[in-house]
Amino acid sequence: MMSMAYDIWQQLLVVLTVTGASTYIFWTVAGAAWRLRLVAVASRVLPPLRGPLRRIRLRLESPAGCSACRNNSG
Amino acid sequence: MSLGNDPSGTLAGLRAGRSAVIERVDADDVRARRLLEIGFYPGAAVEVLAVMWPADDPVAVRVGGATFALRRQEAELVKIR
Amino acid sequence: MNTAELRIALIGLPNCGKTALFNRMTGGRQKVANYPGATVERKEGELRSASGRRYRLLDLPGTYSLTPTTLDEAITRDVALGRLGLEPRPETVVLVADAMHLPLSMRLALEVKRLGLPMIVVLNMTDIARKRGYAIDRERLSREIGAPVIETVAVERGGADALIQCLDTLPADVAPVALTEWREPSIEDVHHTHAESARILAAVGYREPKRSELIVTIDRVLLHPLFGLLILGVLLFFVFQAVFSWAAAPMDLIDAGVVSLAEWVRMNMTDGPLRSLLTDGIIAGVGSVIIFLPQIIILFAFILVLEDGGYLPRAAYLLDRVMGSVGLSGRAFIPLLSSFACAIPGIMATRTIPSIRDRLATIMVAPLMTCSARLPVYALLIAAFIPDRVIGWFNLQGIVLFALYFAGVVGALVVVWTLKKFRGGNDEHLLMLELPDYQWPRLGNLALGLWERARLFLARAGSIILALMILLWFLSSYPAPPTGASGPAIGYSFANQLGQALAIVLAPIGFNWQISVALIPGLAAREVAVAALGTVYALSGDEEAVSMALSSVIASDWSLATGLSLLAWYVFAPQCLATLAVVKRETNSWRYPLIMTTYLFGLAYLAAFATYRIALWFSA
Repeated sequence: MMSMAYDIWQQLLVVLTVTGASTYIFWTVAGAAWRLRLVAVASRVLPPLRGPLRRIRLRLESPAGCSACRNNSG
Repeated sequence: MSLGNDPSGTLAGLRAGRSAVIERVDADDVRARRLLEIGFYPGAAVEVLAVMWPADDPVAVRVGGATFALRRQEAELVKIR
Repeated sequence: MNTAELRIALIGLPNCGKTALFNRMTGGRQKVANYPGATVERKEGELRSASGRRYRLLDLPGTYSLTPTTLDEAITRDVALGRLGLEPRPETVVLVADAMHLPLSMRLALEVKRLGLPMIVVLNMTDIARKRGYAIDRERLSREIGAPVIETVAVERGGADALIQCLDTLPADVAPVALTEWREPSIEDVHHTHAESARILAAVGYREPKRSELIVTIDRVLLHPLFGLLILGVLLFFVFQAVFSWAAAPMDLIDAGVVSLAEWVRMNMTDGPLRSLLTDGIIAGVGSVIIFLPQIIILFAFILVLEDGGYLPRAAYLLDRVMGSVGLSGRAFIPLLSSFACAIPGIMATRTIPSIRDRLATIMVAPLMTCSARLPVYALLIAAFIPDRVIGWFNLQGIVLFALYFAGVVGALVVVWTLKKFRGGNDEHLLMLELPDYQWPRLGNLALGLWERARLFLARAGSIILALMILLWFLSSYPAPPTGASGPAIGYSFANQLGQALAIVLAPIGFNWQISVALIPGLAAREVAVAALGTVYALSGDEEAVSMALSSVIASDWSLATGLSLLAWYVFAPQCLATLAVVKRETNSWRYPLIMTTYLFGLAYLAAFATYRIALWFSA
């Protein structure tokens, strides 16, 4: 039934949005150690994303990378 | 710290609108050295633009083409003729 | 290592227009970061000349000499010497001299020459100087000082072309210059460089530009002990009035836009969780924050105009005694004033305060300066609880806003005074502040600054605030109420439970559970509380209530005492994680941010408690 399919898409969208928002918040607040853990978990849960995730992990692990010393003028 | 000192003969005693020539700066500490570097050296002309109320602290002075605001304590380090 | 890119460092006195020159040459291609291990801003930019050569420009902090008195100046010296760890030594130095103040610039040039690096001397601001009778024999000066001398007008398009052409003539493959013997200049050296600078300028026929009589007259008034302070007070008051009255129309416009957007979504979507997420979470939440953009722009416009015009150091001069009476340096004025826009750049600006004690004291109270993020909260509460009446010349709402700002300042002074009482501290405060010449605020600069501010504000709204609102919507909508339940849906949610728990602690100061809930995401940034209230109330109300402005909604739901109590809370509460993060970075320890958080929340609770009880007592 049309309305049921619509409902499911709606719900899926909502779940994705909320998960995305929560991940973003976690990422912003967390330090490098926690971010690495998140990346590790994501690599296990989402195999297709392994490539880009590996790149993120390398960037996090490099010493004094550009992002590490970007100042926060907000 | 130095409210009891007699300011005459130093920049601190110079009234607003008056000019003078610097004789020397007591260069024993870091403040005096910085004063020297920013233009308060012997022979330079200095003019007092304004003094603040109530205790003539700070003062706005003109030296070497630039204008600076100095504390009274800092101005007292500059001996004038 | 790319040897095709020459590393150029810009060195010069503060206020010599070095940064304008840097901007002119690099356009937007700048990268701002920190020096490794230090909390000094590192500005690097890329320049690509017409001939195809590439350069890396480094804008070093302004300094009066190579003997530093502040951390900023120490960085300049260390980078120029190649002493700063990972930072490679620049291959060429561009000494930016202010044509209006040549003697000091020349003295610095002589000191810099001793570093042994290839040097180019730039005479900036020659347009203004020429009008005032400045003249100099550039060729002769170049021979005397042993370096090319180029004239630039950084504020004009093409004003740096001559310099770029000169850079192009430099040999491409410069061998890294070994650090020859360099020792710190002694007092005799300083005397010597002064004398040498005077000699050179006399030898090259330097005619000093006459100072502007207009500026002298203006200074006589603005620096006057009585009139100066009076004018400062009037100016500040005027700014606060303007922030409210001028912003009213644009704010109504944005409000109408947000409401109609929500309406459109409601009409064109079927009822369901997605529609609720969009209208009650995203639109209501983010919309209630964006509406304050006009006020923030207006406030920043005033601050930027005063800064560009050269008035701010004079205000520091006028207030030095007041600040000194509680134990702060007059140099703390500019960081504290910056904190009125946002405490983060203000705290970073404390690097120019030489005394560590003074610097810490200033950092501790910077968050008490009413930052722009408080504006949405204040504006919301004032709109809801303070009648829009005119008393004589003044608008009552504007008066209350001014009073809030004033309360923050007084609070800060009291805190500093208390700090000094308990921890002692010497009275040696360096002032020695330069009062640069007045200049017409550059509109281009102003527009750029405002655009940057607006962009930052919207970016924050679009990212972290948006994410927090989505999360809050989720917590406020689930668990969903069982069918047949009465009362608003939000009453059954996680958010409600959390709020009720917090409300136990916050009830004595008059906060209901909605406020308590809103304060949690409100920890991320102050304006988030407004967004959070928007979301929480959007989900609580029926359809009609949602289309009312948030201020009307809370005006009908809260007591006056609660509204005033929340105002008092926000004067003090550290609802900004970013600020605490910056304090940790600038002080290199967790101790100070922790102390700051504790004392600020303590003050907030006390103030809110007192306000609430007093207000209740009055209305009884």
